[in-house]
Amino acid sequence: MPDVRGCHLPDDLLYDVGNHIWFRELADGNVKLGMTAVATAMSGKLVSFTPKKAGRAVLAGKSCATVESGKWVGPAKSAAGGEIVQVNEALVATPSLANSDPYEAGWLVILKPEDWALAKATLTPGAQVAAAYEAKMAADGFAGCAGTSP
Amino acid sequence: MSWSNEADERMARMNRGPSPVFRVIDTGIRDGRRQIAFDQAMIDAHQAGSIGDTIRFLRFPPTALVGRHQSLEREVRVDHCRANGTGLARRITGGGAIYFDPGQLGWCLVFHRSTLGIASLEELARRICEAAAAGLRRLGVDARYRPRNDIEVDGRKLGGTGGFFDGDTLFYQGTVLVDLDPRAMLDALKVPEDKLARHGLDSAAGRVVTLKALLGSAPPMAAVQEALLAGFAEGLAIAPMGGTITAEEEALALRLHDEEIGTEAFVAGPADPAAVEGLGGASATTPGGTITVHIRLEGTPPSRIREALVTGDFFVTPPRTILDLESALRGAALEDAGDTVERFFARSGVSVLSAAPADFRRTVEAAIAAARG
Repeated sequence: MPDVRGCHLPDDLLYDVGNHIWFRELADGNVKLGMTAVATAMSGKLVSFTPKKAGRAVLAGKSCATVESGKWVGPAKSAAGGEIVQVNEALVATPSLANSDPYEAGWLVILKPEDWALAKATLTPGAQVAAAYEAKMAADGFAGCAGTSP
Repeated sequence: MSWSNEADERMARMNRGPSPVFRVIDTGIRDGRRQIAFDQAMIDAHQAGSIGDTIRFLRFPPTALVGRHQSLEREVRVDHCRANGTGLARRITGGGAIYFDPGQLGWCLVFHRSTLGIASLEELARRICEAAAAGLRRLGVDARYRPRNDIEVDGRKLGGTGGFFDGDTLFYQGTVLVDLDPRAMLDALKVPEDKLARHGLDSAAGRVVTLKALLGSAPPMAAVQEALLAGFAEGLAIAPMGGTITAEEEALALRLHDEEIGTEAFVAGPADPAAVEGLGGASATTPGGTITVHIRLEGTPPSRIREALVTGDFFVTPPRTILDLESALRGAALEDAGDTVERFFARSGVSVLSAAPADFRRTVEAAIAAARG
């Protein structure tokens, strides 16, 4: 598993580094999305997760959920467009799961993607994400994930 | 901040070169929905690269402004506002409902995530608030940053803040209470103090303070703006420079207003039939006096404290302790609220307290149970 400045980035995922979002391809053709450990480390402990409702459409590059931490609120953006088929109700109830378990219990939504091949081409495979993320962290002045878990 | 963080920051600053320039603009007094549309326009224009980092000042005609995810009907006396010409608007940022009139000054910063060399959003919020407070101290008031309650003077709130992040663009905004009509505020908003406390006006007014009250007269808005700019320049090591609003920003703001932010549907917000009032209170009679706690919850289902009001006839020194306790409880997860009370008293430096911390804890937990229904 790549580990960049103390941030875990599983190599079986696909990454939208600019928006700090990971994608997992599911067997049924849908994709699962979540925030990377870098995103949750920078935002601090999440106190609210408000996904778009199941059945709603998401445009490529637009918000599929809103997250809130302390004084900050912002969108979680999906590089892929499509229809939301499931939202993580456990995360609605306990938003800090995104901090403690960003790649498993802390997932955001499951999307039935449109033009997945097109969206996938914009994502970085986990095996190659370390360099891209290192550059992003350096640009943002981000020291690392150490000590940022809740 | 640790030494190593400071050293990292100095290095980052050296790498950045001279102080980053922030354009300064003022959108003056505008309709609330137009001001919020301008917020979004700045974010969009900044993301598109058509404007640089910017500081903006803004003011509102009498307006009730709800947070991004709040229920308008639950937070605002809509009929009263409509009958009295008080505007209704919804922010793009989170947080609670606030009342604005021309006596308050709004400020906001729009900037790239890398501009200030601080990646942690929590740290950024602290640094911006500390810079704003330092600026306000130039006016002769002892303004300080207090986590969660933002900018305060002796425990009373002088201004609130909140931020929005979207990709590499960050947006952080705040208010300064230069002057305030507390009656107009209470008439416009359904504040729990008004609903729950016997002396609603005194209670709400006692928790906020204005520059006018502190200084004897309201300073000119231009002086408050200058003070804030000086605070940001020094505290954030930036170079504010007078600038102009672009035609693109105005056009974008107009479009966003007409298509979304200015519409009744956006301001009314999503229907939320599952929403519960989430309001509850409890009292405990202790040898050291009676403690009364009112709690308002937030989240669906309720998961954290939005506001806490602690009153009673107990004795406590220094008197601001209870205001600080309320501040510490704001945002606390419900399961952590009892521990938050105990931790607060353990660290508070309170010198006289007639009731025990455990009594406060018990009353807070009882109020939460009542609010959960």
